[in-house]
Amino acid sequence: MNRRSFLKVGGAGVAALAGAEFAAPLLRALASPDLPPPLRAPAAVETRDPIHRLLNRIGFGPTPGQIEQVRKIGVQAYIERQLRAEKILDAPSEGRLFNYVTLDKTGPELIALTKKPDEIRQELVGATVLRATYSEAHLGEVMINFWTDHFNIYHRKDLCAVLKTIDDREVIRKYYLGRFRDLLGASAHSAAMLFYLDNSKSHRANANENYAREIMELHTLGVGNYTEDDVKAVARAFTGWTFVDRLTSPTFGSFAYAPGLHDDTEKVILGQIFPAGRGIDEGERVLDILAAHPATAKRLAFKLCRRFIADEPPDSAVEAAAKTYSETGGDIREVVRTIINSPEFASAPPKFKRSFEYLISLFRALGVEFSSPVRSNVINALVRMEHLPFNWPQPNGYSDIGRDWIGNMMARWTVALQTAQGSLPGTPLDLVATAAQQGAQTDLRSIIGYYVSHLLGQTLSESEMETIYKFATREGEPALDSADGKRLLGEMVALIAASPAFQYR
Amino acid sequence: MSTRTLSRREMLRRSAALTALVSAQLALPAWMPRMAFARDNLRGDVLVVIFLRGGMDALNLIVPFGEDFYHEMRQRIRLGRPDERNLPRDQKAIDLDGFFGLNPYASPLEPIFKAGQIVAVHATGSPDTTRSHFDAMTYMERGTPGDKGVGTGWLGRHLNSFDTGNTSPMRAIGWGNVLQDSLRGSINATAMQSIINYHLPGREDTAAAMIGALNALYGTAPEELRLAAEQTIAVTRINIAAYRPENGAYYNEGELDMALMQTAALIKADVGLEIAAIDMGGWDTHQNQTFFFNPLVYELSRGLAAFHTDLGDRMKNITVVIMTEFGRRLKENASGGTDHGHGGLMMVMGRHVAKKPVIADWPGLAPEQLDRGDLKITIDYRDVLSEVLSVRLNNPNIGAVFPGFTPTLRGVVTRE
Repeated sequence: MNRRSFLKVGGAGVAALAGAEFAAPLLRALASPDLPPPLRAPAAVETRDPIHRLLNRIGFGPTPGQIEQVRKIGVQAYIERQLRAEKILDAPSEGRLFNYVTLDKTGPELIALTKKPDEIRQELVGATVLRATYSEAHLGEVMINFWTDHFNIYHRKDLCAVLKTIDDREVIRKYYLGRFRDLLGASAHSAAMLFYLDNSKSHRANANENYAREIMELHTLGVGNYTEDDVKAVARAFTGWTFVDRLTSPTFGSFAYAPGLHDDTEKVILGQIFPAGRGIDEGERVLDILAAHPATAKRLAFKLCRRFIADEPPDSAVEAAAKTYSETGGDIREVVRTIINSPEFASAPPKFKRSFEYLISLFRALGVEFSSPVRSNVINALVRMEHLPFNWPQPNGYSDIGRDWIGNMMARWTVALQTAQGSLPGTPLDLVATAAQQGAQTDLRSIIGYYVSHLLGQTLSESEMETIYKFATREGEPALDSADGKRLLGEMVALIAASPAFQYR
Repeated sequence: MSTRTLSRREMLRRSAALTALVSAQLALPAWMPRMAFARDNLRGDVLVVIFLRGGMDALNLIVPFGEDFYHEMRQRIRLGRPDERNLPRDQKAIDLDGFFGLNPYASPLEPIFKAGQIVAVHATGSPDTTRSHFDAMTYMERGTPGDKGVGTGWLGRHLNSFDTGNTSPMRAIGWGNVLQDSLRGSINATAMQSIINYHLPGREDTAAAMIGALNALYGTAPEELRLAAEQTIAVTRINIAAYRPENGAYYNEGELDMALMQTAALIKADVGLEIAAIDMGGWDTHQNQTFFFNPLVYELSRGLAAFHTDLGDRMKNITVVIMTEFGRRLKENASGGTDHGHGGLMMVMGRHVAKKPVIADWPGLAPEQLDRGDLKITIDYRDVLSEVLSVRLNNPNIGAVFPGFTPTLRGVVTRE
């Protein structure tokens, strides 16, 4: 779905459905017999409260009351604070990880724990969900999510089950808003990456091209900016870049440079001569060149603009971001600052949420309470929504294009129902109290109004509000504190969470 | 790991409550709300892949009755030559082409063979040498013999490499609880236990009311999202218990038939289905093969024939592939069964398959012609799948589906 087709909300097809007489029998066939036929186009999703929009762009969506907090300190102050993510104390999220024992362990310590690979994977997935939900460093968690896909590692490839825990901590969560060269370097030294892309076995008699290709195609330059000869040469440059893979070693999982494996002959890479005999410095120099390359600036700018602005971001935004990259020596923080402060960001159309974003935004919006260990129902929900962290097999990471995510609506609607009913992640919600704390009156219409405005950041059309009201009162209007009342309230909130507007951020 | 789809009885029970709530006002079959989704021109056939789990005994399904060694090595469990006088009909092969014959329990397929709408590919399989079920299935479904590191399946890579402009949530379905390995790696593939389960959880009246409200709210969503919601809602409204197969076809309550029937329902409801993956277990016949194998053959054949009959003319745009992880040993074992082998069998059913019953580069069954006592493989299974994907499904990027493999055209399927 491109920008043009999105802006055609209420376009020809809908007009045909909404009015013309000949369409009436078709409408009745589509709709349940008890509810009205499809409605006129609502107010466009673009009319959201700008802070609601902001918190969905540089974070995983607002929690109850958060919009007012941001309004108080001011948008610019909030943005600046979020850009200094590493300065934000993260007691709220880290405090919920008390049951997890693997996250801070070194390679040998992980082996010593004698946990099954599945347990180690689940801890990392659970921690990722908890941190995304509760961390005060909202932008930080979004960037961590971004780089996790950019430097994709597949949890189910053998040792990756163990090594990714180290990679998540030492690579992604260390350099997500720092210098790209540092992030790239950490990734190139990461046992998880060297194993995942088969570089650990690469040696001078038989250089494996997988990592060489992906580091240029996916991590930096992008297709068309290097030749096959470059791939071969870079592969030879990275021979010897491996890790300690003996499980019983006291340095298991740490980077190791094996000079005996390294192809030390002269090479030409991207038009530059690499003299013979430079050992590990060759690989470092390749990383320097890749990180500083204008094609890398452009590609990273494009991907970040895709994440923050739109599936097909405007060239002007990409160029501005790429310019900042080049002028700051690849400072990710500055590039993100440029993007967030750009006019294109301010006027960006809504972006369809990826499944992980949908789940976390829902958890945050409803103020759910959970901590480690994260139960299997959350894991299963992510599996059903096809967005289990670290479970994408290919090096390109999960797609960041909205269109790729619209295929699992049933899984989302199910998640909406389960979350609003309190069975996912599993602690019951008090939907009335939450609304009341934010100043809503405790009658049904006011509570509906609160959740529409809180979840969607906007008002809906009268007819859409009627659809929601009719659904909420289909069994009458039992007292809000009765069992039936609570149930109907949960189902009503689920409907709002399942509605089109909440699918966008 | 249970991959069973729901039995018919289970479906009837669960859908009885739903029946009252499903609208069926139009003059259409009561089970199905017809939704006319835009048909794009890129797509080819719907592909149904049936994986026979356990290592199906190819030699006793498509019988090389012309080989003396077949009869010599399988004294107890062999099927006789078509012209063997003193054997009852259910113990001798039905002649297909003078050398190969059909297991008599596969007789429901006989008319389809005669019509030239099903072809068997013999002495085919995966070149890796494993005789382990798990490894063999993994290699075959990932499409990378010998390499388990690849996390994606051949069908997943097909879906990724070929953008048909189809964003339907039903683009690819794997029947069962857990998505088949072959479909892994594509965001378009969904594991579905049954159409009945494709529903909001909890109370059925709440679910129906919520679907109705969502239908109203999504009516004005942006085009592609609206379509995805409509397709999702359309599937929840398929009243599978009221589904009536056409042309006199009949499905029984077994897992294969139920998966085939629901696939047929989804095809007819035009929800954008491109790929369906079905599993059929039980083929690991280490003992008393005559007792276990023949009913499985009947079950498979009956189900395929029912599907073929039910879809009628729609078979023009459908290709069904039957495959298994390996065949079984030529020599029967001491328990009247067979052990894991190597070369096996694939079948391809459709209106555009080769007009001969069996395609084979037959290696022979003499001792020196075998591979460690097993049928040799002379046709790589990826040849067959590549041909189906490129010729019948129009995928122009076969190189991405089986990386590092150059397929040989075998003439299994035709364009017209």
